[in-house]
Amino acid sequence: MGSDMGIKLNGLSFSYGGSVTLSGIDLEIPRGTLAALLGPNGAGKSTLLKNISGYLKPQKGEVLVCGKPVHSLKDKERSRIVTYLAPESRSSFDFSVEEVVMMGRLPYSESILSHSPDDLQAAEEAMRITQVEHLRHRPVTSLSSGEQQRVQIARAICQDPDVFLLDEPTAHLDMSFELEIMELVKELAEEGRTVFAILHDVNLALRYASQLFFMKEGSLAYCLEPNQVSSDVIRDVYGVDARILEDAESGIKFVLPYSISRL
Amino acid sequence: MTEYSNGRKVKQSKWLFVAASIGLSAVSIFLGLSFGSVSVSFKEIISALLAGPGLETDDIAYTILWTLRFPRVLLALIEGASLGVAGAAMQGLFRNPMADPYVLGVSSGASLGAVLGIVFGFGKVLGLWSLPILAFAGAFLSTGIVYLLSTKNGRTDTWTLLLAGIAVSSLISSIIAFLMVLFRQRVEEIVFWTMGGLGRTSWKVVGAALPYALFGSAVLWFQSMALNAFSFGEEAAFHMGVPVETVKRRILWGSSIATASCVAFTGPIGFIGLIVPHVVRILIGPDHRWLIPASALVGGNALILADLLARTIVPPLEIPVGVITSLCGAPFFLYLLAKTRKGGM
Repeated sequence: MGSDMGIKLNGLSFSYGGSVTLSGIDLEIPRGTLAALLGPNGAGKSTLLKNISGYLKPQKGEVLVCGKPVHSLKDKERSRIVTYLAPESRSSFDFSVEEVVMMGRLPYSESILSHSPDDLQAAEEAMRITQVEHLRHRPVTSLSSGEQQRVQIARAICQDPDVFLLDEPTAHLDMSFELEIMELVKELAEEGRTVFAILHDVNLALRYASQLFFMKEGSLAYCLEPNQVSSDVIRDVYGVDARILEDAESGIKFVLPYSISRL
Repeated sequence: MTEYSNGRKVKQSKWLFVAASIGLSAVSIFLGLSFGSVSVSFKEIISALLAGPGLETDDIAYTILWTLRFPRVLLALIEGASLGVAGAAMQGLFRNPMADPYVLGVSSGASLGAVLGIVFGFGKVLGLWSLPILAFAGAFLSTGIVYLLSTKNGRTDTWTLLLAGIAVSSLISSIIAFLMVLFRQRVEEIVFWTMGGLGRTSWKVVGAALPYALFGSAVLWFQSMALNAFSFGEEAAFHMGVPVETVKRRILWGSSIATASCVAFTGPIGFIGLIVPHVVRILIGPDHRWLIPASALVGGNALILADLLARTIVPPLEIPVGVITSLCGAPFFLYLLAKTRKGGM
């Protein structure tokens, strides 16, 4: 499959026309990694993911996904390699859950009318691992936000790309589904896929990700492993005074923010 | 909504719906052939059908059927189907059940073309075909303007498309109003054309409209999977591997070709393209692979019946069919709105 790198960016710069939104970003994420993208609101996290997905085109720099220049790929080929999942994705019509998950097979479809046995099997598998099987005939518009999010993830899994770009995959999820989704995402990485996920919860990132990227004002400020995250980093990126603590029993590290930094 | 407990049942019910629509179309066609200023019996229709076209005969029923009613009912079927298909595609593209085939200015452009033909007397140049040709050109011109206004660097913005469509349509309406004031002696002709009617139908008209309607509708149907993905927005569709810009262009032009070919002959006929896909979506769900052909069948049916009403409701007058579709369509649409609000879509 070409490269050992799931995602590789060389000097990526992007602007929406006016001021520079992303500047000079270099980044490497090996295959089979679950990497987290963190940073305050407006730092350019979603914009970065959409540059990697091919939806936005950078003015400068190079984007390689699995060794391939994402912006030169054909639509179908690209979407078999990489997909991006928005934080909130609502259908304007009453498609059933099954129909939505099946949409993940679009890049593989040969015929407009029917699905191949492979397609059906992929959809079944995706619904099983995201636990939405029992919802399959419900209209997506009738589901709770958490259920809709799981359906979207099922759809992305059904699409079977090598690289998942997830924009706040745990938004709207309650505690148990949050953990379930993170476990699921970790499994995807362990199977050899690359997952790059925007997370607002630093604790989730510390616990599940093996690489943490912190963005600040359109630039990449830090690239760290979980045990390298310090209170200095948190203060610099978020402007918050925090302690990094460790639970004695589970050994899980977590960030406790206690005041807004006066620096 | 339909059945959620069993996937097979859902699929069966879709086939059932299509089969029922085909059956209903056959009934509508017979009704459309049978009633009018002169009633023709079921037997006479069958024997005329069996005899085939082109016979030299004094039989009035035969002559009425083959020269007037068959082409008229067929054009109603074709036009209703095109409007249904284009409406379904437009609503899918704009992710809005309020969109219809005319949002891009097809109807106003066609009207302007025809009105120019009427007021400047171009009718003499190409005979019977001059108004349809001008209307067809007008429809494409206005769609083209709307398209160019909303396309930049190869990307067509859907919202700009909608707004440009509204703006261009209202500009054209005011030009038509202006022309009506200047050419008062032609007002009746203009009003009659813009109200939409199937009275000028002949076999030649059917033959001219059919290929475009079929081609446009086929183009739209082949975008079904992409339209399904569009329901989550363009960005999501892009990430599902849909060639977003290509699909948008195909939908725009497919819809324009399918509807303009008919509207050019009949004038704009409203509400079919708005209501039919809406109703069909409620009955069989939003999957465009089914929604588009089912909307074609229901749309064709609806226009045949509306035209039947238009011909027979106040004899010997013939009411423009556009008036009938609006008269029946608007209250029905309001009823649907009230119902879906209460039910909470």
